[in-house]
Amino acid sequence: MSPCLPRRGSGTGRCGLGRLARAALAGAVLLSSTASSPAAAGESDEPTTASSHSLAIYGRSPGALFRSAARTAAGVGGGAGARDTVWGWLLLQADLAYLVGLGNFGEARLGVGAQLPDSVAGSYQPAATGLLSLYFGDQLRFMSTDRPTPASDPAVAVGGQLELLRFVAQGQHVSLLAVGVGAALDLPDVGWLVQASLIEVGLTVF
Amino acid sequence: MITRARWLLLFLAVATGLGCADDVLAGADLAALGRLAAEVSIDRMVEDDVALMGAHEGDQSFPCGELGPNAWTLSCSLTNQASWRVVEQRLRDAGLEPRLHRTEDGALSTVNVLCDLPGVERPDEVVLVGAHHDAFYSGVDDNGSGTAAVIELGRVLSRYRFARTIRLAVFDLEELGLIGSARYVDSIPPSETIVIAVALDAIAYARHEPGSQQSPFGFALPDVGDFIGMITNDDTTDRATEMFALNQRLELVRLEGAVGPSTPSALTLDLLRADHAPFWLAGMPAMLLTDTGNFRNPYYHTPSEWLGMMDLGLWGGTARLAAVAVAFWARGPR
Repeated sequence: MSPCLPRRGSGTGRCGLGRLARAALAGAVLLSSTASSPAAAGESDEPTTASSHSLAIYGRSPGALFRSAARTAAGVGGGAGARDTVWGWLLLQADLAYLVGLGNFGEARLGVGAQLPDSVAGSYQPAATGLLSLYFGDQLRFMSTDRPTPASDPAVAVGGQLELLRFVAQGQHVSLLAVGVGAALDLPDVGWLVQASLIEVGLTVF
Repeated sequence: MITRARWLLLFLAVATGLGCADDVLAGADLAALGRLAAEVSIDRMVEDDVALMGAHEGDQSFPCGELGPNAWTLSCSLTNQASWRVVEQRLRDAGLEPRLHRTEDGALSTVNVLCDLPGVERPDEVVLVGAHHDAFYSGVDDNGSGTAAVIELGRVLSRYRFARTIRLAVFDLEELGLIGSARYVDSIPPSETIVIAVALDAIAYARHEPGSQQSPFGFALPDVGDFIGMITNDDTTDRATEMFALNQRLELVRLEGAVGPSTPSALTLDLLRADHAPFWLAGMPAMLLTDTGNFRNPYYHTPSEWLGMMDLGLWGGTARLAAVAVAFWARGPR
């Protein structure tokens, strides 16, 4: 075999991420300060009807590592989705993403969760979401005596995601450093899934 | 009624399962393949590897100085001039007619040794089995083991006829960047179809204690390094499944496989470290059989490696598996 191929250093990448994170944080602070202004406070004081829906679309920068005995999917990329907020706290969401790493692959997620209502902490609205995730496209697949054919169906995982740095105001939201874990279901084997999203920004459309 | 329905479902499940197994190895004469596998001689492979080690140890080192002041230090321990002559002579001794594929390029000139067993029905469809003859130090495992296996496959397979052509290919300068195999791939005429190319690269080193096997990023390899690894990509999934089926039916060697994406990326570079890679990059089906080299072998690319460290069971089993798979894909033996 040939010797290990040299890999490039990641110093530049870290620098770039740091700049992005700082910009996102600044955006969140700005959003937060806007929300606490009198005008924003006036809006947030509007009564919410018990059955109200609020549909938002969002973009996100996800990363995922799906690992089971049958396969590995890993990468980072970008995606978009839609989220319905019901009664001010219940979250129903679906999103798609395209990731690059161990090949090129897609991620589809369906989620149900809850956010802290604005009546509790204003624009600071952390959320927890249960997710069903599917990964399709390029994967690193494994074969063995017990598994003489490579997995061919999409990889499925169930898990949860926490968004602790999440701010909602004036029909906009930003979430930083969301992390999720889950169970990678290649039954009868069960592996693990780690998800992360550096930043998610969204806009309420109605 | 419920019981009857259950029996019907069970029957359908079993029938479907058997059908799939039969489909994977459709047309295979497993008895003949088993006899062919039994003809592979580990003793002859050891003799060939000893001859190759002698060639490397007595050879003048690669002229690394010609690569400039930033030449990779290890390249000064590479030898490749005497080894191709050993391969050519051993194939001639087996009654075969090897030919040389030469490319002149100064210090990076290459000599690939090629040898065809012409197909009797579809000679333009080629099943290639290859290795590389250049090596650091004596190269007992990397890649005397793979080269010796290819020579032995030449001896055994040449006793039979096949519908497709079987091509033995022993490449040069793999260690400096797959140079010989890349040049060979560039030379393949459009009239030929590579059914599959199988590279044998470091196939004889095993360890049996827990923790002896390391994994590249993303892999889920067993903890004990006593298996042969098969590396394929999405374009070669069917061939990989057939190789697993053949191995299970004939019980040849402990086999673990990884199927990588067809699109190379920075995280899959470890999948591209042998002579199957130029075929992949040219869109041709190819696979690698390997003991995983430095992920298991602490003597990888060092002068400390010697023949007594090799695992003859793994080595012989891997050569038999390669012989059986190549014969099956070449539509034989006859």
